[in-house]
Amino acid sequence: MTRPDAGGRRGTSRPILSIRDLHVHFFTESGRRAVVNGLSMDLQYGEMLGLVGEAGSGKSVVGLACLGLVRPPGEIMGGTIIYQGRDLLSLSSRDLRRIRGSHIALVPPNARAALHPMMRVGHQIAGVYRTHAGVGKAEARDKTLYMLDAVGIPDPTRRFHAYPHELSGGMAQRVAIAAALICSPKVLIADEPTTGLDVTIQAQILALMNSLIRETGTAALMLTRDLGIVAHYCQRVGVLYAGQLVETSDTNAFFAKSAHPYSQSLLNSIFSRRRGNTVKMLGAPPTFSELPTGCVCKARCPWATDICQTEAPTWRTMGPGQEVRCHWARRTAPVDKGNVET
Amino acid sequence: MSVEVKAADQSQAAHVTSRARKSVTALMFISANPVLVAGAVATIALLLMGLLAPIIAPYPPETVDFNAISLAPSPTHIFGTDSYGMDVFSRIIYAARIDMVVALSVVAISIIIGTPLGAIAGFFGGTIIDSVMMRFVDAVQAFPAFILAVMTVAILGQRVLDVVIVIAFLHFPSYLRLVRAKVLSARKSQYADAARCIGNGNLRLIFRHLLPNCIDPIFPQSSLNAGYAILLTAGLSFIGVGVRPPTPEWGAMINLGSQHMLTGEWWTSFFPGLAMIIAVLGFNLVSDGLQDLHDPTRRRR
Amino acid sequence: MLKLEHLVKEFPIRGSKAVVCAVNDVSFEVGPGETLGLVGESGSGKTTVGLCLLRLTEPTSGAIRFRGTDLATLPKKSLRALRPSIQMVFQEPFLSLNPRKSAGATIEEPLILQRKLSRTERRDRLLEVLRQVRLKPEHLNMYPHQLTAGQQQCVGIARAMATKPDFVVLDEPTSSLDPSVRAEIIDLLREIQLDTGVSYLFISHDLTTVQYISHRVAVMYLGRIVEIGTTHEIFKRQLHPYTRALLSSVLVPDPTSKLHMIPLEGEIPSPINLPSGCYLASRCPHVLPSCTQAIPELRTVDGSTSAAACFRAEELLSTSDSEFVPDAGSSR
Repeated sequence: MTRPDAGGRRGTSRPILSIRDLHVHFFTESGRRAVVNGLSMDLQYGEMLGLVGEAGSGKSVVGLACLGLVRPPGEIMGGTIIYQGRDLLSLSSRDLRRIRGSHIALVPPNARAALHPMMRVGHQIAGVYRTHAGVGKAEARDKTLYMLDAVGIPDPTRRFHAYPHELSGGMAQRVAIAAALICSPKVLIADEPTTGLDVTIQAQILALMNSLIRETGTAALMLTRDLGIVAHYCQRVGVLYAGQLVETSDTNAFFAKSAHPYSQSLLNSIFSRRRGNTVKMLGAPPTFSELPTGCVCKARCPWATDICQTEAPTWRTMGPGQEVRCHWARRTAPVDKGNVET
Repeated sequence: MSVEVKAADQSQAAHVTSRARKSVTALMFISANPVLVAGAVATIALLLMGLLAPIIAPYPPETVDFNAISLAPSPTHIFGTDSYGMDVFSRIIYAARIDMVVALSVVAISIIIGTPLGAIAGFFGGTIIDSVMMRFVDAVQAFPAFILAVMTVAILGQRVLDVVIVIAFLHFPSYLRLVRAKVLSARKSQYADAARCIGNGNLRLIFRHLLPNCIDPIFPQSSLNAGYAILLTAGLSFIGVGVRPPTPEWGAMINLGSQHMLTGEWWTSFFPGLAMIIAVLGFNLVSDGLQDLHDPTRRRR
Repeated sequence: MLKLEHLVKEFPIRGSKAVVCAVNDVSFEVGPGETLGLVGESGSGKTTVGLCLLRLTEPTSGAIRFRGTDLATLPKKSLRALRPSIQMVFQEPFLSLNPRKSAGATIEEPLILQRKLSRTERRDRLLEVLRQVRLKPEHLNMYPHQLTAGQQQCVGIARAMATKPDFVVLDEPTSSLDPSVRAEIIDLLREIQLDTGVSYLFISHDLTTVQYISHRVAVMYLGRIVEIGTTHEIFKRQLHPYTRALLSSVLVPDPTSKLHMIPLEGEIPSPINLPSGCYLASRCPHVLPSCTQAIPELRTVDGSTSAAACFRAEELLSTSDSEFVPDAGSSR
């Protein structure tokens, strides 16, 4: 098993990262877009939380907000992100820079494009370490070589001097992971770290990331569209729709008895579960210029009724570790698993 | 069946309402494309000005009057007179004929020659067709402009038309290269593959699929070229192969007047310069506006 | 319907005599109404096979028999006559549509080029195919940037289906789409196949999708087919070590399933300088010295209906790590 047991180990301790009521809006030529609408969630010490959302759900922006990297045309309109007792959104840029990379690190999607194209990868990784640890060139280089080896790059001394375009996608992603983990951050934000990679490479990279953060007890926020990654590596799942969390749940509970219609439609996109009565929320999440009244899902939800149009649903606890935001939350189990609950 | 009936109904309905909405559409157009309209107004105003020159110019443009040399702007001579006593204002109006025509025709001819050739060169990039074309273009661009102008004048004679031909010939390579560069990458795109897949031959592929998507860089280039064409005309006039004095031409007027700036007669250069600025600005706005219009992501249903 | 015989595609490298062999002696058949899934990782040559089928690149050698005619050597004019029968759906929905053409114009174009139907007949066919891909008439006037990714891909599919082709190559049609949209599109494709009897070559690296839509599967590695068989057989019991490694890496979205990843350690051979023996020898967990002596041929193996290109296929059949946990949804 790649995941430790999920039962009864959370809930009471203080989370390492706590987002409360985050609002992020983007001001573009075509108007204002409310990308994150009142997001609240906790990341516990040492856990990997999978934040699942499709294109347009705002998950990348959440990751950027945690790093203080929301730039115009995006603007943070409200909310707090508490890390170690301080609100990241109220910190000065100097303080943020101290936190970025050393306490909270990011693994970007498509690392090959995210690395500096004109700088050797070894120098890029070493640079991160030198900035935060204040050490000299030699020590940084040693640490970099150690990291390159730890992420499974063969012949690290030679690859140290490689440019990003000389590396394959998988290699570049490993470099990005090395750069993210070199300062032993407390929180790792992985934004679709394996999109575009081959299946076998993806499996290796995820296993690698998982073992590295297990070793150091780093908490991780895994932003992804892939439910397979969530199933195998995340202890908890948060489902994002139109900039809002609609369900947070234990991974097991999520796959066995998820209670939100959007979660169920996501689960129904798994081919092995597509049988008869499938719940479908058609199309991509809508974009709003402002948070609408009522439930954000109202336009596309097959269960929507009048109350959904006017009243935003509150959180309901469906079971241990499972909370859903829907007026009509009800658990349904996939038909072929045998146990149907209402 | 019902789907088809619905579609027919929809198109009929659209046709009826379109007639009723034509007046509103014009207003909508102006508000949606203010840049284009402003530029077009300026350009058309200058063109009209040139066209109506005999009617609106207060003085004949080439009449020398030694009694009125270098007069500052006054109610009788709105923009003053130059060192030959010719009215600056009238000359500016008449000069519009030459300058506007030269600028617009140069741009038009250069684009018409350069764009399709560029598309062909880009599509066959890397092959011998492309190599031959590019070497020819290199040769053209390497040619010193003024020498070419002198040669052309010697062969064809000195008329405005010759000036146009020369300048257009010098300018088409820039369009060719711009289009070629875009087509070079566009021909590898998925929509090009898809177009070939459904049965488009090379000709249709180049001119109906690739080219419309590759003419974006032409717009800013054309406004640059238009302004430059006017300058070039002035330069050619200066060395004697362009417009012959005393034919009024903005560039020539600026040149002539610049000699007198030091002695304080600023109006002989200033006003023609102003006219040129307005003309070039107008071209700029028009080309910007056209580029926006051309952009499919701006279209609404 | 379609039969590939020893297809080879080599790409010359600028400035040297060496070539990149993208497709190296590939042969397979696809019957009417059948879907053949072509899987492989990047560099396997699967996309190149698709491009060769459509003659978007010219094959270096080999034959592509479509209803008897060899497409590989067909002159351009006759090829154009056959175009309406073989079509392709591309990977990136937005990039495969001309941004300046409305959806309706895009879908109608193959009909116009076919020159068979009158204007009204085209209009009828247009609406018919629109219904097939579950789009609405108002989408006809919209431009690609006004449509969602899923709708864009539906337009791409409609364009491919417009001329009622017998064979459609689908090159990773859902790889860039969100999972829920992916499921919709795949269902759509299945429906179209059931309605019209069209055959598909479904090229993908996404094994779960391939499992759901394909009748048979061919696995490619470095330009060669290493295993081919029915979907059911291949996902139940893999013969070739590469196939096993591939399937073992798939993350099944089921937290109760176990992940037994079989890693392939070692260097991947360069496609310019391919080894003389089995291409997988440098990374295969079951390699023997004899594997580097000759290239294994694709052959049927006793005890299985699949064919594999491995010298040790029979022995490995009995070992325990050939099971990929089957999904309950394997519907073929």
